[in-house]
Amino acid sequence: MTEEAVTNEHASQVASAPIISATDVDKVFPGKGGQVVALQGTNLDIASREFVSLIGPSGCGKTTLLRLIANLDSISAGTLLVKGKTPQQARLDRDYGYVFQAPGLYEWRTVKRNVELPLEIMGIDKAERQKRARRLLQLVGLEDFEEHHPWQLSGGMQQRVSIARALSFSPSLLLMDEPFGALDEITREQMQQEVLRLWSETHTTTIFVTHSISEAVFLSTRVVMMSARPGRITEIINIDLPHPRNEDTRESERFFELVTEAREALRRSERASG
Amino acid sequence: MKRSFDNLFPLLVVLAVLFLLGYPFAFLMGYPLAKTNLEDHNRWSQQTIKAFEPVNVSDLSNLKFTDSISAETGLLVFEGTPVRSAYTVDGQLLTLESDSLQPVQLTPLSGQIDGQNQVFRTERPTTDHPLYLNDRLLEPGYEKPPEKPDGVRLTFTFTDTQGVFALHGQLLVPGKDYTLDGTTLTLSQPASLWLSLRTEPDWARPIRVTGDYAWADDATLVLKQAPPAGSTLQLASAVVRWAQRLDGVVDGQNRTFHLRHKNLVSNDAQRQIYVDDHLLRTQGRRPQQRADGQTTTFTFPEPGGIITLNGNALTAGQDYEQNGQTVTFKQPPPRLGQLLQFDYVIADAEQSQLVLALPPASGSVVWANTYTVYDKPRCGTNVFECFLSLPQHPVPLPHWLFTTAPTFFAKHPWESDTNVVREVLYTARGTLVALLAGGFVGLLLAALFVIIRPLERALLPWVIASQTVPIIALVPMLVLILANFGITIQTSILPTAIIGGYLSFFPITVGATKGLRSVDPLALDLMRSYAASKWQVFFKVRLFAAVPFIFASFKVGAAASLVGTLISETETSNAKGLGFAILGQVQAGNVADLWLLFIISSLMGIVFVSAVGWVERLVAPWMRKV
Amino acid sequence: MKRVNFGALLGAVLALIATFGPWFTGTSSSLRLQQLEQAAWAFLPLLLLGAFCVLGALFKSRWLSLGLVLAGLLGALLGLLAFKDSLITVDATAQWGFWLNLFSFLLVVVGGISKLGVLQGMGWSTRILRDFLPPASIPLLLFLSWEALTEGLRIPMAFFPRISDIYQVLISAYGVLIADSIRTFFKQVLIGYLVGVTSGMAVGLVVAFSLFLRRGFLPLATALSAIPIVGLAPVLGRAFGVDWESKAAVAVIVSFFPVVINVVQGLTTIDPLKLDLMHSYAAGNRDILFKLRLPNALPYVFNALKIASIIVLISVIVSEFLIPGPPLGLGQRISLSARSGRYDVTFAAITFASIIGILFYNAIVLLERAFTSWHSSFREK
Repeated sequence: MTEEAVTNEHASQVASAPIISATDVDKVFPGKGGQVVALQGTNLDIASREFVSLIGPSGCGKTTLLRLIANLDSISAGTLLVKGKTPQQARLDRDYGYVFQAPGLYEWRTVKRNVELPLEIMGIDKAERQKRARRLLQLVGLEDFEEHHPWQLSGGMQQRVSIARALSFSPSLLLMDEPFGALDEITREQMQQEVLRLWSETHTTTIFVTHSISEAVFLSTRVVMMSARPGRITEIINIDLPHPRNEDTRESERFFELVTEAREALRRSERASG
Repeated sequence: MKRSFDNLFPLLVVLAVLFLLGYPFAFLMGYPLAKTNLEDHNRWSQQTIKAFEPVNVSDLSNLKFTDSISAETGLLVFEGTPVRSAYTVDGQLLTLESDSLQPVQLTPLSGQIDGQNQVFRTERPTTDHPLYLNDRLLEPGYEKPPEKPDGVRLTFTFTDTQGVFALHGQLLVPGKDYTLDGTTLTLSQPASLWLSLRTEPDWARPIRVTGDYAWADDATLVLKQAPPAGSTLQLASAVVRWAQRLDGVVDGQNRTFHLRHKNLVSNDAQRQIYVDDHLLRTQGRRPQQRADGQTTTFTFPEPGGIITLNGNALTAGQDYEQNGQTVTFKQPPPRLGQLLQFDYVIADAEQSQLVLALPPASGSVVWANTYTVYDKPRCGTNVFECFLSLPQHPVPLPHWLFTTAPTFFAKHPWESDTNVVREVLYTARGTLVALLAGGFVGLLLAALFVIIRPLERALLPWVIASQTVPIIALVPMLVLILANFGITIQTSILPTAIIGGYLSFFPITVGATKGLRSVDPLALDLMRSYAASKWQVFFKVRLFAAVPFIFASFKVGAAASLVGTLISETETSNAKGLGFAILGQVQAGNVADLWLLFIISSLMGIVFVSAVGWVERLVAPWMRKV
Repeated sequence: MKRVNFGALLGAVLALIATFGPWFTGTSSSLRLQQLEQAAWAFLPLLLLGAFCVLGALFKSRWLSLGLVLAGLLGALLGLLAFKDSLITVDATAQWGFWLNLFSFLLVVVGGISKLGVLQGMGWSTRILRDFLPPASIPLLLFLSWEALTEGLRIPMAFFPRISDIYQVLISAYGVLIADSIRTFFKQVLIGYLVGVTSGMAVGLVVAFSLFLRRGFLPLATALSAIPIVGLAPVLGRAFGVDWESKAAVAVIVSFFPVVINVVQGLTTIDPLKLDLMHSYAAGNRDILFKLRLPNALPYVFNALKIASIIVLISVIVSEFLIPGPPLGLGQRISLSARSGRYDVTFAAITFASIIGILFYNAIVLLERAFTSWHSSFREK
């Protein structure tokens, strides 16, 4: 696909109904020394099939925003719609898959059974469950480790299992909270490649929280900059790098330009918030 | 403030709920015993049904009884013989058709009737004839104290102090003839042996007059109250009574009869059943021969009668053949079997059903002069009442804990060793010493285990196994061994320290070892980089890491040393401490006291464990629990 | 020099003194002396010892250390047997030679074990020598010393029994002891334990889900778990009568509280991430309970089961002391025999109690391994 066509495709998608729609969202946490304003006046629209990264320093509210979308925390003010519904309804309807910072696998289950966990809860029958689990483990390249226990896998492999688990029920929305934070550089890059591959194969809308600028630029179609005190969105940058992206993309000039642009944007917002 | 209320309120609610649940629980635990008291006939009070005398005996043709009577259920008897003459019964009155009864001679008694004299004599000694004061029938009643086995007849114990006392036909004067201390009577002079040889042995004991009068000897009556001047006191010469008929067809063939009151007392020797004027004997008669498992032919004192073997009635013709006095059994009765011959047997005590040996001929009458039945439960009318009247409750009602607490604490004065507070302090001292001893050994072992790794591997399984040995069994042996060296529990705290320490050293060892090992490997590496010696590592790093574990294990150890101390107090002969008090209450004493001790000992455990927590907060304030 | 096993060497020297010393001092104290005069095989431990010490200085071999242990045990044992033998002719307490003999050979054993304890590797022979032999040798040392002390000091049986006495009772009266054990264990301990544990789990489940109950009941449960058995047993004896029910009741209460506390802990101490995961799946309470809380709680539950299994047996035995009932059961056997001075029976019964306790505990450990093999505690090295 040409650069242009991709951009056009994205533009047309943005025009149709957004999958996430946040309007003036505030989130306040009660704290010991007074209240903590985690998010203030957040406005964001995310369209279907986008790959959006949220990036910023600690305390900028990126994880909070993700958790609000996931209905793991509730908003203090404003409107947040996920697939046109309230976040709670979206959660009850199981519209998204969440990948946490830590794999969070249940030690008492094998890898395969861990992937089957959401399917069990959703009441899918055994044969179907096993089929899907197997397919997803294949997708993440861990089909040989079905009967292993989590502790027998390395950190990166566990994280892959948790991604497989998040995708097991084919959600249209995938929320990932710094999933590669604990991995080394090389594994990280491999995982990023994996995620991109999955995204292009499954067309799942992905919201990705990270504090690595290069990671955000490499993976996303749009990068959302956030800053702290109070947490808010400062800038949004369109990433017009072509797909499919690979190591060559990482070394391309446009990549460096975008990374620099993003870095400067972050510095600006840093200075602005003091 | 709200937070502590939030934390305290549920606790109080739960405690209150448990307190209230104590009531149904106490009832549940006492229910079986209460039920037995209610249903077991042997625990019922008894009532004796007797043929009763008329109120007046002056005019025999018109007798008045205290209750209404019916010719269907009863009959008039005269000296053990049914009265054949016709009579009519109307309510309480009985009218004889003819003057066929011999007039009842009324014998006045010798003795002053002046309102003060209580002793009267009769020339014709007879204890069976009724006594009338004016026209009122008097009830006899007396209590005879148990015989002293040593024969020294000076003190006697009665069950009550009401009434007057008499001995050898004399009324005893309080103060002069005897002194009364509670229910114990002490005579001023021992009951005369000469008199007791001369008279019936029964009369050689003082008696307490419980009814209207009692016979003090063969010919002397003692009245409880002196009859007022002007009244007449007379003994009736003959006995006219209204007796009960038995229920049952009298046709020469029927042998089964019922008494009119149910729940017959089977072992009642006073029972008198008559057929016409023939008294059926309640006692069984033995045959001449003894049952030895081989003899089949026996000779009984009478022809006829129901033969029983070990209490079970046998069937004539089936189990044996009878020919006059000779009875031949089909099977020889087993050795030591009890063979008896009865005039009648009780077929069903609950229904008061009797089976006579011989069917009464038609026209005769079967009647009862006196018999005893079970009346009603002594404890109450239902299970709940019986539960409340239990002498010993398995579980006390919760509020009793509060009501018996004051008396419990005041039972022994502060000076005495058995004062509760002193006991608690004694036990507390023992627990503290035991905890320190166990703690010392535990920490030492833990340190050794950490420093010398192979030692842990070798000893740890056995340290664990040592806890399966019940130290309570070895306490007597330990005390004996130590006593051999002159160390007794009275003089030294060592036995308690050993026993309590034995129980507490294990959790401390295990906890401290884990703590000493739970060091962050990075910290150890840091120490290595400083080339610190093993001892420096131990004191600077391991010990601090171990602090939370050590305190946690000391809490467990505190509870264990309390148990050990209590155990040492129960098993030794040292009369001090809470364990000793508990032991004393186990053997005798009321259940509420036992629960109080239990609560006190539990509170002690809680206090000790909390105390360790306070020490921890003092010593290691950095270990703030989140 | 580093290779020399100082413990064993010292022991060897002392053994020599113990054996030959009396010849020089003129005292007929070492019984080894009589043996040496009678049989050559009495020299065997000394010879072995010497050989192993010498070889040990030259070579480093685990088998030599093993040999030291065996030689030491053999020497102590033979000394003991020799003393027992000599009692036929002379009835006196043991003299210094006997004690030195015992001490020296035990020292040799300790020396051997200390070298075995630091072996490296995972081969099966290494594992047996390092992990099995040292713990196994402790009771052997204990029994040898015990028998030597009681025999050597001629302690009367009413004071302290010998190992051989206890052994006699075990082989002659094991039927009675087994019957006692069955009554104590199956009727009282097991029934009480099962009832206490299941009710503890049920109550724990209820309490874990109610904050109110957690605040109200949990502190009470922690406090009540510190109840001294000496206070509890008489109360239950009065409530339930003197037969087995009261002892089973003790077992119920003693196993109930640790289980409740740990069940609540296990059901509520959950990694928040795992819980968030469940929320993200919009999992119902039932799913959360069965798929997360219960499996998570299993290690805690087993921890409580292990603790309770040790406490329950000892509590039932102690309560048999405190609630006098029919003279059946291990506790009663121990109590009655101790009170009448038959300490050999006491110790025989105690042996049974210990064995049952160890077996019971290990049965629970096996169950734990079967159900929670995934837990990190099994992976620690």
